[in-house]
Amino acid sequence: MKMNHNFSRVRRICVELVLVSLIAIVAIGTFTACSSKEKLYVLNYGDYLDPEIVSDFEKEFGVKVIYDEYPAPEDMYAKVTSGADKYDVICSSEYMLEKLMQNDLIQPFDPANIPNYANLSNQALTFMKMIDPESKYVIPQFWGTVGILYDSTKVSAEEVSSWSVLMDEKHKGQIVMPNSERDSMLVALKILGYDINTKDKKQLDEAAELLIKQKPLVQAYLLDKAARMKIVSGNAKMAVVYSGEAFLANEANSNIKYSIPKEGTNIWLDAWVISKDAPNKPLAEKFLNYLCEPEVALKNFEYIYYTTPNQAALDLIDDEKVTSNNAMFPDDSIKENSTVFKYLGAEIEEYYSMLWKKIKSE
Amino acid sequence: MKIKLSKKWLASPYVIWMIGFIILPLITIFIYGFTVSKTDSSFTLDNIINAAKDEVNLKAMGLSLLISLISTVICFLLAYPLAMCLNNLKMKRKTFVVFLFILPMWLNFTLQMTAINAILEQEGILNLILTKLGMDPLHIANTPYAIVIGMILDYFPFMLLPIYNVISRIDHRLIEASRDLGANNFKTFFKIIFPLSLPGVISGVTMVFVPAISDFAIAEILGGGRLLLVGNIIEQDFKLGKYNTGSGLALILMAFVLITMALTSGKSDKEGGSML
Repeated sequence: MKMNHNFSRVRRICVELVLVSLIAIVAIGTFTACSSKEKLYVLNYGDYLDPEIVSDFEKEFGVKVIYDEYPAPEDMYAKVTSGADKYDVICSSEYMLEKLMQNDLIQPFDPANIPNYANLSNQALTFMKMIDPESKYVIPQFWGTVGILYDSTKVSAEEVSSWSVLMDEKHKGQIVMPNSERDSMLVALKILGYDINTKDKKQLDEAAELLIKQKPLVQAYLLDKAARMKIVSGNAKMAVVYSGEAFLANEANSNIKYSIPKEGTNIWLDAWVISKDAPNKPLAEKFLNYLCEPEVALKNFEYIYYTTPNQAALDLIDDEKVTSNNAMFPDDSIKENSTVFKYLGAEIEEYYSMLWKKIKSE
Repeated sequence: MKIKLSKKWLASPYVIWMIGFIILPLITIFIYGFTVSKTDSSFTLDNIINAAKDEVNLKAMGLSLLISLISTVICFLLAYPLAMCLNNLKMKRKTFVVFLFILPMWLNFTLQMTAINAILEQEGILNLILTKLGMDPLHIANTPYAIVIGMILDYFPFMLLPIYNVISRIDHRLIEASRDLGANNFKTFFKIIFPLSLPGVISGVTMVFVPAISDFAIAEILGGGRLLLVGNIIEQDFKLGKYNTGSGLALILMAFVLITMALTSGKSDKEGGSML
């Protein structure tokens, strides 16, 4: 009998626990729903905006920012099209933005609401017009190039002045290639002398063939910081990286330099757009305008060290070492044989991913 | 008001969890795997046939199979003698074994893998020692060998524990009887100990092989992006929104898992003693 009595007590406690937790859940739910602050949903690359800027914006405008990050452009696209979350503003790379644009997933901003647009540099706007000719959709965040980061004590500047150094048997196991299909293919296409936006499958096959031939020489396929660290730690002689990595690598070790090969390269542009189904467009515009303020852009530049498109912010920098950095601020001559990636359409995109898998599986 | 509670009711939180995170996704994979596209829901076997015909997929499957088999065998070869040793220890306290089991899990998985990478790298600790000793540096980083090492580190406890549990429950009188009847150590091991420990071995092999074959995180970190396992292809397909082809491949992988389970079911440790 005693046992039975105990057991029913256990039951009662169980039921009470369940009830209490239900009440708690409901309470928390209402509490969050009731908080009156306006919300802004932001989707950005990982570690691509100084978190202080977000909290400053929250304080200044009395709003709440829900900030999500993604690793690669393809993840962003999957996230946005899955429809599970709605975002106000999205930051991504040029060809992905073009894809968003072509699939009618973004909307134009109202220039009157973003007066700070005037702070953007002409150079950046020229590149931007390659994807957004009417300047209706896109607000640049950073731009830069793809080039070779190398240890100048092991490789000469002469050698890395051409992409073909990456095919040299001599450097077997010392090369890091980007873990991104378009950036890797860029190298092969440039060596073969083809357009980096080619849709010709024969040319793409040839480029893939070349990358397969190169694979035994490649130590690893890495991106961003991981690629930079290989060079900084001395584990590899050269890596194909985005220009932003160059400054930080050079800070860590002044023997590490960055070269834009003479065949030309890809000019990349990461930029903000407003999502088609943005829940709060006016706030989205306020946010984008805020990011274009010189002090804010400068702050973010000093956080990431990728080339800022904000001329007014650049004018605030008085550090000669930064502004004279050729990797970060290439001169206009680069436009001669370099261009931005265009979105190539679903069919070629699929073809790229097929080739990339083939390269990876060799 | 009387609330009727049976003991079964206590399982309901997990049942809800299971429906939401195992059953429903499984159904979704089946639907995607057997339909043409998101918009065209007519039945097809193309996803599976194409996935099985594709040269890249076959290569990746072969590599996955090979790597997980090798990892499983090495785990077994390491775990079995250790389990015997633990069993012969004077201090036969379970807490110590549990401690051994849990110890590798104190280290965060990502850190573990990053550390292995740092050890194996060209200018890593291993090669530093080798060159100091006047030997040629090894190129293990970013190769299948590195992945095998990572898998062994990650899955070893799942091999050790079931084997230890079964061995520790073997009736000592059987071993004594075998000796009395004139069998030497060698014979006793192969005729008595090993057959009796087989259920534990099979549990261990399943628990290592099944997760290893579908793993992609270890390959991603230790393969340096140079190697493609089945898990990586599925991940890429889903990332690019190719849910149908990705699901087709996932179904093939599922078949591998089911075959393994069919081969081992009935032989594995039924008393549940292989679990803690």
